[in-house]
Amino acid sequence: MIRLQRNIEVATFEVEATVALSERRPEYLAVLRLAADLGRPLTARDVHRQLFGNLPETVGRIVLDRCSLLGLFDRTRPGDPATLSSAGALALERGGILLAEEGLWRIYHATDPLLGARPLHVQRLVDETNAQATREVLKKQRGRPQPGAPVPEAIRVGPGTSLVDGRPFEIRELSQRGGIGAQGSLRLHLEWSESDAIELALRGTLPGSPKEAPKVDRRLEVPAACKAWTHDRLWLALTAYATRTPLDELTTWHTHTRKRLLPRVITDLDEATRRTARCELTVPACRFPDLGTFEATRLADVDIVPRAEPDAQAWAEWLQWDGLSTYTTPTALQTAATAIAAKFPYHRPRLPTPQVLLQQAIKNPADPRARFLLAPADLGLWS
Amino acid sequence: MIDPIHRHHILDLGAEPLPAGWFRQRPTAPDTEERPAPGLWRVGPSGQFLRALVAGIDAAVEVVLVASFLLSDRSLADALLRAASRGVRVYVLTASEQRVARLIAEEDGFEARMSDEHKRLLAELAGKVLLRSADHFHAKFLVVDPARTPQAWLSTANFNRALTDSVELGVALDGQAARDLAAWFAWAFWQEAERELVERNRLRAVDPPPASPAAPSATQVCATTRSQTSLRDATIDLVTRARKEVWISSYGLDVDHAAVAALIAAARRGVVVTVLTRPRPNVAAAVAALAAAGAKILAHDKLHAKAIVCDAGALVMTANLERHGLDEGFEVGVRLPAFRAGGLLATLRQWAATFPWEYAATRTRREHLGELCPADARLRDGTHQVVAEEVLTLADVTADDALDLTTAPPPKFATPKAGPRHTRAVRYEWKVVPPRLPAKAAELKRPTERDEKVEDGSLRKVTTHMPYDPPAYQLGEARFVVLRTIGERERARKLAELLKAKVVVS
Repeated sequence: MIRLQRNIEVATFEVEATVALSERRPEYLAVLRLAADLGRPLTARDVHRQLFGNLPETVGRIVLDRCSLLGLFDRTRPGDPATLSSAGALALERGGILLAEEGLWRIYHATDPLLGARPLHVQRLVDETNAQATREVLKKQRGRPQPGAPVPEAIRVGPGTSLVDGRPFEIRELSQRGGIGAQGSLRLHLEWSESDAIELALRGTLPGSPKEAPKVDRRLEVPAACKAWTHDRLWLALTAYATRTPLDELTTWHTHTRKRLLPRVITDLDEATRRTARCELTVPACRFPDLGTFEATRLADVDIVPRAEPDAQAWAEWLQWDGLSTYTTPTALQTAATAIAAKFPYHRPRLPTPQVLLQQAIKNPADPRARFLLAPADLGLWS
Repeated sequence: MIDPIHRHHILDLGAEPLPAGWFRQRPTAPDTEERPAPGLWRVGPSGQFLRALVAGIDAAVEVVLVASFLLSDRSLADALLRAASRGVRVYVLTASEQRVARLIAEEDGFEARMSDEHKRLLAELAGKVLLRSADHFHAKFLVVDPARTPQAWLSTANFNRALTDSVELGVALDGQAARDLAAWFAWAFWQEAERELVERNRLRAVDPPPASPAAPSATQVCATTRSQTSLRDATIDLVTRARKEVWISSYGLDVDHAAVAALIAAARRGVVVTVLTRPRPNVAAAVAALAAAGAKILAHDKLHAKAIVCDAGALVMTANLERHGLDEGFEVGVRLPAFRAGGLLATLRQWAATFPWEYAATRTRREHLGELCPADARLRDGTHQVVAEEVLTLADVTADDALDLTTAPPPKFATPKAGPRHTRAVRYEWKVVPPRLPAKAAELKRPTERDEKVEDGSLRKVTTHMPYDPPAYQLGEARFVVLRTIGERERARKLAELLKAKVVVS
């Protein structure tokens, strides 16, 4: 698993706008479902008979007219049969109807290589009970020069989805200027699994007062820029960058072994890494042209291989001596040697014989491991 | 005047029995002869055996194997450190610290100081030698270069100050015997050790060995381990096969042990059994049983040697004749060839002739004079003394009549209380003194008539009272004639008869 993270700057812009927010309205959704089920243009009679049989027939007409007004149905003339529009089909699919509201909105937005420039969330700033008064104020202001900042590029007319609650919204009209609000940041999480499953998520709290600031924890659709990378390609790039190993060398190992391996010289390895042939690699902060800049991260369980044959020989001998943690016999040493050699499938280390090891111990009896050979040899277990 | 007369009485207690125990025959002295025979040592103050051990370690080229219940001799430790520093592999087996600590309570000859010295030296050896311990390790021996030029020394002494202070034996081994001893060391190291000194003052439980060592041969060197008891068997076999005499030396004797039972049986069938041991309460029951069977028991304050010589063979070993030794310990013993057995026998005979203590269960005060240690007491707690005579001075006896001191009755003779002092005879001494005139006695005078001339010239009879000579006194009904000088003796006697009085002095 590769985990990359960074902060993205989130800004808010407060502007007069008409924004449609998705709402669950069962009465309209029932009509949409009826149209989808019938698979043909819908008449007011259809609606009345199928949905409102116990009400006056005119109810069917009123409902269908209202649906058409909301753009859920297309019809050439009033009273004609109505055809399910693409917006209607989408609303049916999402289970919500976009209902436009005109007013003062706070629009949270960000610009990032992986997110593009886009609104992240919309929030109505004026209480609905005052909606009428607000509308009147706004009508009076129209056409006059407006103070404030121009609308940021990230905010434009069009659909979107709230990062906070996942509700679809659509900005339908925007004032030309508005006010720049609070700023903050969210954490962008990008994770690659070894099976190339990619997860992009934003987490954190949108800017605002601590009590009211909306919380965000939302997975996002993976952008094409990410899909251009594979897990292994990204791993090789990060590893090469972190270890200053030529990418070609890493790629060659990867190509020949089909494994992600990091070749190292033994003198660069600490004892723990020599024992496990595996390490956790720290990758400094890095920048990818298409993915953006990421903070320092760690690559877990990086498999290490000797860079060359002498490294493998020295490493295997080191492992053999290091493995002397208890009293042993020549037979056990031979078994251990075979097991150690098997840890180097891409090299051919030749491990010292038990007798050579014993001579080594005799020459250096003060070595803490020497006794594991000397005692069995001196005390009758060596034959 | 009348002088007191001195009287005495002698109470003969010679037939009184003394407590069963150790009777001192002569002063305790260290061993003097240190090399009774080639390859055999007796520990002595000049430290010849200790020097042989040190020299053996200093000559080591490859390997040194040391086993000792206790290890605190400075010169040996220095030799081991020298060996380690020149690349010789040094292996040590010793008793566990817990076992050593228990000895302080169990053994009367053991002091906390010995345990402290042992621990201090082990800490010093940590990291330089490979040391393992176990509760039951008791063997004491040294093997040098077993694979190259094997040399070995079996010691009955621990490798501490016992090597110069105690009464001990040492035996040199070479060739196959030394290799056998090394094999027993290897066996104990791999199969029986419980802990290993991994660093200063830190012992760790040992892991199972990577392989089993070959079972050692018990031909010349036998042993007791957790898995077999060839030493026990050899000991009992020697005693059982003895026909003429058995000489045995052992610090510990357990009355319930089969080896002691074999000795008792040998004594009962007419074998002359001589046992050398140390006077301790722990051996009391065994020596009582052995003595009752006819064995002669001698002891030395510092005997620690363990050996048997009899007409069936000779054995020097590290085990006492006890369960925790012959049956359950890690102990070794070496069968001596005939030429060394002679030296050992001579040693035990000489010891018997010079040892200070002899055990006797029934001995009267008439049969011993001097120091004895009851069998159930420890030497360090103080011994008893048997003395020839004790003089008890009694209070003066006042005679009934100053002119007859000799017939005064004797006083009561109290028998001395039992204690650490036993006397063969008690001499009671006292004086007989003449009786004295009671303080309140009134002088007694005799009436005398005389003629006295009256005014008209006539005479009349007048009675006067004149003192007696010597003077007489009366107190109540009792009358006393006071003897003033020895010259008045006869007159006093007569007057006393006359007055029915006693003669007293003033």
